[in-house]
Amino acid sequence: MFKRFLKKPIGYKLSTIWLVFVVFLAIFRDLLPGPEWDESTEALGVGPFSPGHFFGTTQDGFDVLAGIINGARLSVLVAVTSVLIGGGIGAFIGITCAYFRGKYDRVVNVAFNMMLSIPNLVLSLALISVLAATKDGVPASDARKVGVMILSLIIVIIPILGRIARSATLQWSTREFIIASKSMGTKDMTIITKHIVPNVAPAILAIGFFAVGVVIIVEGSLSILGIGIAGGASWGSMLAIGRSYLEFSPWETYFPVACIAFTVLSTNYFGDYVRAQLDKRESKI
Amino acid sequence: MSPVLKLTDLSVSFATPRGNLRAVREVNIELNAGESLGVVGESGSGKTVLSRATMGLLPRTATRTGTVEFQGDDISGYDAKQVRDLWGTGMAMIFQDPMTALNPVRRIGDQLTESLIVRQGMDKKAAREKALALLQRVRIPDPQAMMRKFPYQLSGGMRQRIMIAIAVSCNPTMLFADEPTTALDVTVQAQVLELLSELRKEFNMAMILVTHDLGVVAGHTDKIAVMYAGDVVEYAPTRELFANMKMPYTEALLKSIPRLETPTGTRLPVIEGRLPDPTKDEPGCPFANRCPYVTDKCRAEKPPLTDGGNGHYYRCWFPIGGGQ
Amino acid sequence: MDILRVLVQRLITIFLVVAAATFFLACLIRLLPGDPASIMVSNALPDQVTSIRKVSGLDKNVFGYWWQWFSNMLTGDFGYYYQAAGNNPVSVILKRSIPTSILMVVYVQIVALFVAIPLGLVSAYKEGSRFDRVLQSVLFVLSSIPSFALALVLSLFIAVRWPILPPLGYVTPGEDFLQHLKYMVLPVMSLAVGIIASYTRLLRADVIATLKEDYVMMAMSKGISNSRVLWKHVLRPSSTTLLTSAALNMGALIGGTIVIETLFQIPGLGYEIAFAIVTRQVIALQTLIAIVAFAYVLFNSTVDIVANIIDPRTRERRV
Repeated sequence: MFKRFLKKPIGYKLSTIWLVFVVFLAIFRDLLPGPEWDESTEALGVGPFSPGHFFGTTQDGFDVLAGIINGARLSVLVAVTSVLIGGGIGAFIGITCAYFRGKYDRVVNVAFNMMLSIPNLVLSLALISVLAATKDGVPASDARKVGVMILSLIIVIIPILGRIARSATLQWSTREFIIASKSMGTKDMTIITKHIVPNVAPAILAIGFFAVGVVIIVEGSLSILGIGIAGGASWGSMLAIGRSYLEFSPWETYFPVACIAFTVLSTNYFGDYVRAQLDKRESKI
Repeated sequence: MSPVLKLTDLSVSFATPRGNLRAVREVNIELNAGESLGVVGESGSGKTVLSRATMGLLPRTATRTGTVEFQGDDISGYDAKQVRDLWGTGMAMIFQDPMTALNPVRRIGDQLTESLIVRQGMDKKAAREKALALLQRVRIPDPQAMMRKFPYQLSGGMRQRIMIAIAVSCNPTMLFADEPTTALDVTVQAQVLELLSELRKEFNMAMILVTHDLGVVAGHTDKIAVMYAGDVVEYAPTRELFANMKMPYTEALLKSIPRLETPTGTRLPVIEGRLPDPTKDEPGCPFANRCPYVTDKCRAEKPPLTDGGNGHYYRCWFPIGGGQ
Repeated sequence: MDILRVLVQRLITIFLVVAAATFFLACLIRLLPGDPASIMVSNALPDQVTSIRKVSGLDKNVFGYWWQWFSNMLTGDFGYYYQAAGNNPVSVILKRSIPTSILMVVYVQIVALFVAIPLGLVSAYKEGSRFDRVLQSVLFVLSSIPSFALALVLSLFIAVRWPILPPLGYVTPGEDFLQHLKYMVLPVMSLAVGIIASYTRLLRADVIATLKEDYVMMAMSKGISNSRVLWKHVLRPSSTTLLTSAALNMGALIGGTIVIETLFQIPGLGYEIAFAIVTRQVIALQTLIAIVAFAYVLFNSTVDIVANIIDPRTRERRV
């Protein structure tokens, strides 16, 4: 397996290494040495590569490296859960409605188009502002905000992946082997799991990778707009704070920006890669 | 008088993932002004590549060796710019499929006047006048209206006439016609071929007519080169070729043309078997495994191009009617 | 009249999608924990809350509320910002923010197409060359960088460290056109870079396909220059996909401007949406989102017409 990995293109290697690294940080955050991310130190706005603070500190004295390590957890949590759940639901709806057609398909199609007619950032903004609303003057807790953010991103992702799953299934469900299988009296669910899912999975996977990028960008955007996760607990949140001090300590913005950009780059790379593989396969058929 | 076109040992090969594909192998051809040559062969024989290689219209994966002399100049070493200057004015080409060879989004008038304006430096008005005259010359009814039309509004025959008009617009010395009638109806085919012959005489152009149909070249060419698997296997004046056919392959080609006098329901003879793999160099005559007269010698050794007199050349150990 | 029928069908679709999207929003608003009327205005007096509920239709059920708002929109009444000091009509904000956003989006499109078209043509022409490979990698990286990341980097280096351009703010073209352009450079660049990348890739793919067409070889055989072949013969038949997605992008871009407009403090639709969310002006928010959705669907539907102009072949098919 390792030998096969070495044969892959350089972008594949870099993307894999980066994503594995981020997931590693997210899982083993608490076991890593270094200062706590939420404990202020004496050093205010120290530049990168200074002793004890490899990425420097923020104007408020928080260690940037510790913040990055900590932020990985929320970013991974939000991105992975929302894409897995939203993608799962979307794929299920998309595949079934394209397979069964009829009224169900028409309703779903209109619903998807309606949701896709609102730009994804606007939709998640609206959802979060409603769901994580201030209740009787008390702002929602961070845990609730994270939950709400994941929920609203799930809703954003359902139509994106749903539509891809639908069109991919439409393409496949008219092929001879499906019709043959149907005519032999195979159960619909068996046909879907045995024949449709394996064939549409790569297309969904490719868009799923892109969706991870979308989620990470939306998370950052929400923080900039002031309704995301607060207090520097995520990468987006770090840069939302840091951008006020851009002139004095740009590193507290640039490290989280770089992390966001690398992560989006890596997932987009895999999306592209899967799609290219898919095209290659299609052209062989 | 030196020939307009002289090909010496012209070879073309393509780099493909499966290996080096030798599409044209050491072809020698001479053509004088006003003369026309038919290049005949089935698909994959290298006839289209030969004409494109002569013009220099090859993709980047292709390698061309040998020399191409045009009007006495060796143009095989020309750079892209020098070759381009020859195109349109020195050599022009008519493409196989008039449905795909005209730009679908530009008006006929624009496509027709383009060479006149860009290559001959005419102003718009003069180019338009010339274009109208050309359309009239290729017998297009209502040239004025035609100038404003898009290709999709025209029939195949009309489009082919347009293409011919574009090709001859800058009075080229040499015209390549690549299967100019294959995509057309039989009645239209005859008209287009007749038009090409007229124009050739009128402009004293040399012409290479590429086709898979021996019937097409019979009445419209002075010489014929039959190609098989990249080789010229028979090369003779048209009259001589039909009177004194030497190659079993040419004979087979001729037999596979439908004739009016054959009773309906008769099965046309087909040439059994397929072309050899062009990426491999196997010994023996490339036609051996399809030839009705094959012997052990044919399988073992490739026949050289033999001079049979009367300007008749062939590549066969056992030519029909015996050797010289 | 087939064209008329198509047009009517399109209009009905647009109407339905916008109606459905706004009804969805109306449902969301009614899901708000607590009373939307009192959320909009903090420390409002009871009779003020009652009057807001009455004016906005919040006293009716979801459908009645939505219908009042929707029918008002159709007659040009876009609702109000409800504040303790009084109600401000949303239309005042719209008059300023719609032109601002449209200008910005148009600039982004112009810049993106201006750069992407030559890049796409050349890289397709030189497919597989070193130039092409390097460009593809660079474009891939650029397309993955979030626009806000670019905005932050650009504003530090070009506006703060090396102050040749204003870091934030906005001037309308009517006030001072040159200043207006200066304020637009950074936001437009931040948004355009990613789009340039995707446009170039789209055009490149189509040009590569077009270059294999017979009519391109035919054009080359006329002996005209390569650049003339590319610009006159290849570009137009290859640009349908590009212009289609450019048109589709118009609506999406308005959504994309939210963060950029906030970062650069440009009073466009995106900025107003963010502002309405933060200040919980749900009625205004609903109107603003409806307008973005409308723009999106509208551009979606006009794509065919654009494609029509570029490629006359589709004209024939339609009639």
